[in-house]
Amino acid sequence: MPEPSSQTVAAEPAAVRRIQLRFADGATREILVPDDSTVLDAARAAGVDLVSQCQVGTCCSCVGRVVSGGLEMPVARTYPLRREELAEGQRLLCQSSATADSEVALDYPVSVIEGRTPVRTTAKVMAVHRLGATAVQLDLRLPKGQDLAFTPGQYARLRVPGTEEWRSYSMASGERSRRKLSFLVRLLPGGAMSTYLTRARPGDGVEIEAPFGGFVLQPRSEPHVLVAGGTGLAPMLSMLETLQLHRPAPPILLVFGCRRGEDLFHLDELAARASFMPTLTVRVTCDEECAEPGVLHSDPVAALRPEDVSAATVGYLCGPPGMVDAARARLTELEVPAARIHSEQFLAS
Amino acid sequence: MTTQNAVGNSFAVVRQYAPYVQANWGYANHWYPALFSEELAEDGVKGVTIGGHDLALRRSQGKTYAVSDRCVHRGVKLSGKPMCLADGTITCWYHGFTYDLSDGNLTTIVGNPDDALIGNVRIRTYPVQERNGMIYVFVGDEDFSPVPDLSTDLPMKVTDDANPVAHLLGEHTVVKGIHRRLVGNWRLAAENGLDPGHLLVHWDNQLVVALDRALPLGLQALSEDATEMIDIPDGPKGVMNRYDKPELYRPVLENPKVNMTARGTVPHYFRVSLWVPGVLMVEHWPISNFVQYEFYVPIDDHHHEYWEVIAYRAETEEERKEFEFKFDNFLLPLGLLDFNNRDVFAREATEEHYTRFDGWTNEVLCDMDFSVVSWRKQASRHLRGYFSSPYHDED
Ligand code: FES
Ligand code: FES
Ligand SMILES: [Fe+2]
Repeated sequence: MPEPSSQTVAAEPAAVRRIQLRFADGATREILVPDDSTVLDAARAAGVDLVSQCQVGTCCSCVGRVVSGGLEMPVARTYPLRREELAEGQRLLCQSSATADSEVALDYPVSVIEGRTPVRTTAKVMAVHRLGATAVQLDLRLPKGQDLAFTPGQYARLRVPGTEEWRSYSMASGERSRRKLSFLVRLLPGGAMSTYLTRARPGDGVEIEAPFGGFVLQPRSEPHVLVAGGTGLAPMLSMLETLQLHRPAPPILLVFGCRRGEDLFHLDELAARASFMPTLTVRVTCDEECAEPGVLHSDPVAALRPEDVSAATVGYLCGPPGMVDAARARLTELEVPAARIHSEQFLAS
Repeated sequence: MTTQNAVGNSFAVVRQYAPYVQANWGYANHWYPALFSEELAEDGVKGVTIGGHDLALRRSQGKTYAVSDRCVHRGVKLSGKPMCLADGTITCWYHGFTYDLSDGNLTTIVGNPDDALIGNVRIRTYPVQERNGMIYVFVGDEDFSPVPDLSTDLPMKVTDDANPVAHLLGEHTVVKGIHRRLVGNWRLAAENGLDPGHLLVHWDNQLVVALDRALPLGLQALSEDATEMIDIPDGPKGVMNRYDKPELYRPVLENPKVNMTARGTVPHYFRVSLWVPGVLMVEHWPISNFVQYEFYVPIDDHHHEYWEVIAYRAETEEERKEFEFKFDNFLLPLGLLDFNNRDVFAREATEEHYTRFDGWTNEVLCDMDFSVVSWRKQASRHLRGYFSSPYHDED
């Protein structure tokens, strides 16, 4: 329904229409569309990156259906929409402007464009490796075609085989490895996963749902301080793989601590990482006196020195709640702004 | 099921060079050779694949271009049936999408010059350089910047030699060579090139016998300086077997247990080095004052393009002709073919174990492999990125 054209006064601001986008899963997003913008552009400006491809009105991927109100596409050209489809209200959002406040239905769920839909599948145990006195590395392999896209720092939920119990573990493997995932599991006497791991065999099926979590690496070139307690090392290992390729390479300090000497693990792994990542410094701490050479008798937080931190430092903290709180307080004291401190804590279960 | 024919293996055995072991598809964001200049005629189009990137190379009005070899329309390879209708463009043979070679923009569609797509879509372009008879392309992430200098991805210019061999970018350098697609991961090829322990496969090569070369059965390194890690700031990164320092090696001349004695009486000096992202330099090989360069360009995770290039410094036309004559009648048949075919056989034979039985954690390295391990460590420090499978639903 074309509106009667009228001479607009040059100074008059463009009219703005309110558009309600309704996704197939019922989710809605509201955007404002100025008269001189397409719906697609206005949505993108509002941070809603709708599905599109050609953006010139030839591929049909941006199609939406007008439920109420009005969207209008330039006339005098052909579109990949049939007459019946147009009559039903279908419009190419990359070509449409709004003539009224409208509601537009989209035939896909909002998860297609926002965040990643968690994958749920059954993985296979590839290997279980004992690390130190109280930790285990669990390697899983996802079935073909079930690649897991995740951001370093995120975690998976695993169902303990033979039980209804679910546990969460961060990926220790890097984001490029989308089918072979590694996790670090802290062994707890009587714990469901710990008990299972004593009898785990390569080939066992483990239900997995992933990825989750907002503790995610945003790689930058500023100095990074990573503080990890125990199996809180897992997300840091994943982050290091991504940081290795970031340019200019950020200086990275990783402080990793365990309570007892016999709990320490991956010291050779960390030394190796430092050997091929020239900007990585590793500091290992142990709350108790320990014979391991090079290990500081300290907790990871006390091992943070003022000169480790600069005004531009970014912090990632992962470990038991007490450690994470203390590390946050310490970084704050050293004047790292709250917005640049990212943390995740885990509770034993 | 794992094969337990190895000792002392653990999941952490490869931790010292984990980035290298992960690089099944090769290192992204490096320069690789794509073609010899003579393989790309004016107005010619050739397709090559490097690290899963399909590239179309095209020469138009003397200038060389590299663009993505996939038409945006329906994805056919432009090089599948080359069609160049106007200078500075490449046209897809299927429905006529025509792209500007310099920026990849869709400039017209043969049968639909008013299509709304025109000016709005493009194919990717890749940085290209043509130097001394070779065309190099920088392959990797589209937004990788700045693009490093080509010389950083080639063997260093030799300076510590009274008679230094020709550098690939040298002023009077002439090159001739061949390249072939082989089965085998790029790393197995690179390691074979460097490996000081594989003289056994060459002991009865025609070149060695004809020249009565004194070739030991093996070389034992006496100190860790035998393989030097070379890291030139803003320059090439590699490892070099210092065969120029005889005090660092003990040649093994006989092994009575198997009744083998080294053959040959004419000593010959050469020196081997391997450079990121996988380029070998053998100075004074196949004969003194010549140099053999080899590139092991990853195609996918199980194939590489094996480049064998002989370079020489020729300042006059006469010298160049003489070089070409020697190449055609000696260096190619006895060197690049008869001699290196043994290496080709060895790599293709190694591939099976590394693919099927995860050779990286199921190998038992010996003393002679010290330089291979140095290479792996060095290569783990200096990658700029990883190629990964471009295929959907595949490992
Ligand atoms: S994005 Fe292709 S028609 Fe709109
Ligand atoms: S596939 Fe290239 S023009 Fe159609
Ligand atoms: Fe060889």
